[in-house]
Amino acid sequence: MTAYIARRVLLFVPVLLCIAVLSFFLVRGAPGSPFSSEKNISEETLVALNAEYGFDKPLPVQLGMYLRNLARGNLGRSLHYRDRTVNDIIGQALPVSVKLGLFALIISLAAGVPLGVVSAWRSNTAIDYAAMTVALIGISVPSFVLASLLVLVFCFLVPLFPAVGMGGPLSMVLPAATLSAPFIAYVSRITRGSMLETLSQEYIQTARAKGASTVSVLFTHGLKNGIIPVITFLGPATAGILTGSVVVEKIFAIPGLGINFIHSALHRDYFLAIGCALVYGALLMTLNLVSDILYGVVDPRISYDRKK
Amino acid sequence: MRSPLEQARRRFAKNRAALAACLFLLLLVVVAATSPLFQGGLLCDPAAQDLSAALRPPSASHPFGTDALGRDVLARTIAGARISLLVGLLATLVTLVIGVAYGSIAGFAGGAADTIMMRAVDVLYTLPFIFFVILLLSLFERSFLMLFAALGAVQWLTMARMVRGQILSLKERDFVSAARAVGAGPIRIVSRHLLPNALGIVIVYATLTVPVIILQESFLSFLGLTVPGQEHSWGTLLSEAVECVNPVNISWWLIVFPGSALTATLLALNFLGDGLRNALDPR
Repeated sequence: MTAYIARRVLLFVPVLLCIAVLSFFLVRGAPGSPFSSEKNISEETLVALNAEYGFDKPLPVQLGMYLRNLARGNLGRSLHYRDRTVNDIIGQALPVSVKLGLFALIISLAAGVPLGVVSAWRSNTAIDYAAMTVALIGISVPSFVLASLLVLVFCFLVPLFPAVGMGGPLSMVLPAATLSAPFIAYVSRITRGSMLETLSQEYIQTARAKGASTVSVLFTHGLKNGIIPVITFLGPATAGILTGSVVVEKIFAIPGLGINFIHSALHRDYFLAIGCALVYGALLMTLNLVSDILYGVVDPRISYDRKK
Repeated sequence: MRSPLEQARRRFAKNRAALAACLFLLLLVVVAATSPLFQGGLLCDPAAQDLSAALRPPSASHPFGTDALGRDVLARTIAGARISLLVGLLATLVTLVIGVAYGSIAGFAGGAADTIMMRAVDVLYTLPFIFFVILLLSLFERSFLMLFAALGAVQWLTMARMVRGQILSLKERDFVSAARAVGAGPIRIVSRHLLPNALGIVIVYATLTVPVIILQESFLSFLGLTVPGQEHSWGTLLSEAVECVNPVNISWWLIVFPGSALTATLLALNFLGDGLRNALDPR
């Protein structure tokens, strides 16, 4: 297991390098200058600014400088917020996004798993059809449509929640609800499918025969196997929640990583943009690794050690 | 004994949700395609502004109401359908061409070439592509061509994997050996013997790619990353709506109509894809 984890973590390096180089050439190859939007900028200031950030050197040298800094964990300085480093900005934004994402993930599991279990238990009844229809709609409604509707209803028509910002815990409810909606749907569909298969197995009949209660059969005996596909879905789900949070952060004006990325791309804040892409990449890979490890923990038949 | 295609058609005809979706999409395509003919008559010009009639709720003359610049929301929603369908179909075509070519080469070549090609796909899978697309669209001069390339380039990976898997299992079958025995070359085997047998899966997956692309197109335009010609994209309509709706001015029609149009289209495409999958690939 340790060897497997080590191998996977080692793979992070080339992928992150790939992201860094690709996005570096993308931002540096783009026409226009990060400083061109500023008014009344004199020729000398421009030269000085370009020199300060090393933009006067040839591109490969710039890339070398950037990668050297990156190896030390230094993501460079923001071009838009002159006095701040990218590490500082991301350090402030990341916890906000992580909090939102975790909240959404917990909602997805807490609502999706029971829904799926009940659908499988009462399969092909009105309850099942209703739950699965709602799930299909949940998958098909785009996050920004749902967010717009939620804001319309719960902030303006019936003002229960604040529309923007990160105030108290109440301000997290709508963004997290938006973010988790499609994943509640996916989780419940996956749970239903795997529970249907599990519940038809003989050990479940044995449990029923010896008089275990329905709740115990469903959640103790059934879910132990039925949850495995859900756990494999956690990796892609968290990835989806992460990318989804870009839009949700924009709508609800949450100062997270996503909104910083969008702004940095629009303002040509080169190093902040690359930094955000790198952090997203690292997060995605870490989460996939965690979900693969969890997969092995819940299903002992799966071994990651190479066969001897 | 009925032919497999006839059996598939019958299975599809029994699926009411898929049939309804099919009907809805046909209607949408017809309305979107013919809408310029009705402009000025039945339908307003989507770009025509009338500040004296701004933010009017739905009425007989404007069934979906008007926006902050007095533009007809119905006309704009239909114009949005044109954009979404066009982008969805063309970008899917891009993924189809790249994915089928890449997947069939990897699957048919097998061995080291296959390993290298599929490892490359694995690496590309781990890259957060949507971020590159956002960077690309926000930094460079945007054009429609770039939008297709960017969206198509992201989505071909899964298509390539599916096609490769199909080819891999098909190429060991007897009819392929038979074709080889009578002297068919690799190109002929792939194009005449393998791909036609993988067609069902390719069609199903292409149908399911269209809603993904439409969703991404509206997602990008919602973020303001529009290309010229995308002024009435459903994403743009919604982002403009979110900007102007506030507690004093609850113009619900600005959100509800384009939002429902987008959702219904995605839902219909997903139903159609599921229906086709059940019809063509019953298991």
